[in-house]
Amino acid sequence: MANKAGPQRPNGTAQAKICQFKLVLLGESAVGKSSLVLRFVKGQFHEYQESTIGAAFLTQTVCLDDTTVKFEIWDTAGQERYHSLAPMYYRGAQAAIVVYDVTNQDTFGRAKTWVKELQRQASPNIVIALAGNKADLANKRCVEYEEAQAYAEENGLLFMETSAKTGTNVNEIFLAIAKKLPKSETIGGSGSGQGRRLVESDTTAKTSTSCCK
Amino acid sequence: MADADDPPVLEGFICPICKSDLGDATKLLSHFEDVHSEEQDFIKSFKDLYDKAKKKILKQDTPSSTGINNVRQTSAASFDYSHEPQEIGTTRSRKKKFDAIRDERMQRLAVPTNQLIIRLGKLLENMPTDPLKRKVHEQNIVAWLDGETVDRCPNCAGSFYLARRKHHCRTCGSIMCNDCSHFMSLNTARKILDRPVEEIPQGNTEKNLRLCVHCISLLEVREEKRESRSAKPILSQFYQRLSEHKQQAHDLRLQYLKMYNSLTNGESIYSLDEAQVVKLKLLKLAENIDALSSKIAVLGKGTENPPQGQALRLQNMVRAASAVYLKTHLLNLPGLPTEEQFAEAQNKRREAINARIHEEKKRKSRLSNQINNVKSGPSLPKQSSDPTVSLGQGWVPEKTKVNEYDDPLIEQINIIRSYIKEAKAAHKYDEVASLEENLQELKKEFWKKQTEQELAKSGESSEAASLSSYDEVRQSDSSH
Repeated sequence: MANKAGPQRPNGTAQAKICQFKLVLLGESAVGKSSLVLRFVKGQFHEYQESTIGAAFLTQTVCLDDTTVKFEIWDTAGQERYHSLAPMYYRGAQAAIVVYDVTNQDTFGRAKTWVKELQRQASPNIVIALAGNKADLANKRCVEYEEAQAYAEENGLLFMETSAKTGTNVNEIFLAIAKKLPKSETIGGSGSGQGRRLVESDTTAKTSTSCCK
Repeated sequence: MADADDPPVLEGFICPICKSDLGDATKLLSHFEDVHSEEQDFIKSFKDLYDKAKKKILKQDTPSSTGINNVRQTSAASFDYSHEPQEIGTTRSRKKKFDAIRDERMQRLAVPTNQLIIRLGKLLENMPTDPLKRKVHEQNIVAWLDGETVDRCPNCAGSFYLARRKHHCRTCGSIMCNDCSHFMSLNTARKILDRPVEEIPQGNTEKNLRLCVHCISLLEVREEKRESRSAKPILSQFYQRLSEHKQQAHDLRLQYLKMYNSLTNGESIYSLDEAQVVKLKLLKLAENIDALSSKIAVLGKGTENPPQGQALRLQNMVRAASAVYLKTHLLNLPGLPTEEQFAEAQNKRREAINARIHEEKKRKSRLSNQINNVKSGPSLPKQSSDPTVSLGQGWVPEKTKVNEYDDPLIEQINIIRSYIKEAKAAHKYDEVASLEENLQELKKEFWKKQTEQELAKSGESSEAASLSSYDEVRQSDSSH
């Protein structure tokens, strides 16, 4: 990984920028917050992950086109007794991932209250992502993808179903956040991480119809 | 008078050459001209030095001395002080003299006033309700002047007779007529002594103390001074209230705009009613600000000495600034959408969301058709990642065993400390900085909680607990 900055320098017309963002993970206990981060930061997964005490701190960098995004991740404990600590961590955060467990309807309800708390008390520009974890346990699913997707859309959240165990969508959700975060000069373009894909699919749809004609 | 070898300090009109005191300026000059004319060459060397001083004096001197100045000009000799910086010669402290004069003046007011206060305090203590006993009590504290020796009121010089009776001042014991003495209510006296004011029972008239005009004026002056020391001008009181209102309005306005944006986007975080309440509050605040600023603008106008110059300007500026603030911040608030508009916006949003979900599904099915993804197994909506994206090597602190505490804050403080140690060892200085920042925040939170607890002081046991936890923090602090 020593050459991670290597390819960036020649191809980037501008100098490689480094942006640092504070990201906080919130959610009911045992939904897989720590596993999600550990998968993203170290690529590891422990079947028996110990319960987090207080809040853990991890960092990971992501190279995105010509910018390096450094995430400072605060992985908060989900247990009730640590809830008083949470505001200290989401207060200055630029991004938050609210995690729920797709096999547990209650955790989805708790995620909604976290989102509400963030909308009211965190920084107004905070980028919030909703992650439905444990998506690999398809046969035990209780929260439907469409339901969560609709909720996320209504509240302007990024949404993905993830699996820390298989690694599905783990890096993707962090990357989607990285894209959506304002990087000082490319404010206009950065907010359209999802919109751009939509436009693409629009054009492909159009070409396909013209093809059929 | 004095000789050259006499004591070093000489004062007066002294000839610079023979050091004899000539008594006044005219004599000294003529003496100098007559006796020391041949030594003038030597003196000339001083000429430049004194030139400036001379010019000044020429301008300022009274007409009677202009003649002398003319002579001085020709003689080129002058002993007046110059305005050039001088070295400090012999000095003497005048503070003692100043203190003496000041003390004398202060005592003229302060001593009698203090005496009055002390006597007033004694009078109020254990004052009997029975009039006769009360009189004895009063006379015990302040000796009353014998009525026989006084036949005229010392203040108005009116002689006493049946209609102008003698009255004793309760604090100095002297005799005055009714017109030259005033009643002071006991509660006023208590206020002067900073004692709690007592409720007057229903039906009873308030009790008074008779004081002579001198005593009462001394006490009143003291009260005035005391009040003026702590009192703020009305203008600043008004302005303070105005600023408070503005601050409230500022906060509410931000909240309202947030609500407005959310509502017009059809989001369901806030309700229309909530926003309406906030808007009404804002309008009420705007009204208050307007009323206060117009009060400030007309403050003192129409009285004997209306505000002038800077004061008037200040008042007008406050008014103008408030008007601008109202216009730019509070009166141009966007109107809330009506129920129908809000419903429409919500519908639009819902449609857009549905359309997007539809689009996503389409894309998903297309993707699953195109890519035969064996690994991810179930139909998880996997989002394809950009090829230009690469992950770095993340940093994870080792799991260190941290002792458990009752207080999650202390626990967290210790966790962060161990992280900082690790990050330092790994030369991750960005991480150290962020962690240190968080540690500061945690500590601040901890002390805040501690002081709150202290204030609540729920009992000895909790205090002991907080003390021991305080020791923990300090210990780990020093070890850190």
